[in-house]
Amino acid sequence: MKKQQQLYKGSLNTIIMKLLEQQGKMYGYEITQKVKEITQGEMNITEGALYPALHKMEADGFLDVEMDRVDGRIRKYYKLTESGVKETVSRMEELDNFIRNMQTIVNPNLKLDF
Amino acid sequence: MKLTTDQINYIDYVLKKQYTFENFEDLRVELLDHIASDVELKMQSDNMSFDDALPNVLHKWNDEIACDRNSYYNSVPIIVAKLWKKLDWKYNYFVLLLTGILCFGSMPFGREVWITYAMYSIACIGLVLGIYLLNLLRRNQFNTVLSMYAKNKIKLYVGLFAFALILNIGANYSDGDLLSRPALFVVTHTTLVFAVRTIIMRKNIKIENQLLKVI
Repeated sequence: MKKQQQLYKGSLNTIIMKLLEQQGKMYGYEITQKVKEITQGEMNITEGALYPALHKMEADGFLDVEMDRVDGRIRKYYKLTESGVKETVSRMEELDNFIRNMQTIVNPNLKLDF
Repeated sequence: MKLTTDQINYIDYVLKKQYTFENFEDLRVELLDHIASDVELKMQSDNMSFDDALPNVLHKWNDEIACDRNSYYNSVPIIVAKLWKKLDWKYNYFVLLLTGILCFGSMPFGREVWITYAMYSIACIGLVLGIYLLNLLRRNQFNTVLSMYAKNKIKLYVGLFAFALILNIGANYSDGDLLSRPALFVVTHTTLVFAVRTIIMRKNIKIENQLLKVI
């Protein structure tokens, strides 16, 4: 499981961006829960990895923030900027290629359709 | 199960006083929401009381929100120190390298007066940027991770800048020429530091405006 987490680590930003592309806007806790839900608990984004990644992408101009008051506290939502949308497309292409290549190496007889 | 206002305020108090988040309002509100959501889930799924759930959640967070006494930034939470170190890499080391290149590059022209004029021109830019930066810091309404980084050692830099500039003017005056420039490195470096901190404070204004909307 721990080794698997290492494999996911390199794709963390792409995963976050893809989720934001699908959901529109999300807050930190929601991202961790969504990933857990989609992967049925297989992937766990730690807070220590999530927030530095979000803040870095915000500083790079890929994410925009919006604050709202919910349940008596302030909630910070992240959403993709225009350049973030473009970056997501390019990163998803890279990830698709990576998966295709890995699949070719690991299981050459299986064909994947993306 | 939703937390009460008192319970939310208590988490906020713990983050401020126990975990030194007092001066990082932007990050604190974000972590407060995350921790509160985590506590709510724990109370609901594990049937725990607030008093039991909070320490449990904080224990999970400890590696991020405690201070690392061995770190260069040993008085701020680890999550802040990580970001500040990244900013150091992005800006400070670049600034130091650029200063070195500029000063080293000027060495062959040691006997030429235009280098001193260039230095005083840089000093003028530094002066304008320094005043603008101090003004931004004075008007700053929330202490955030970025504004605290911009404030860090800024008085020292302003002091150094002023001292170096006065020293250089004094040296030129007593020599009666414009050939000596003992302040070249300090003036160039502090001007670049002011420029970088100004960029950071401009980014901070966006965060401030978002906070102002909801607080």
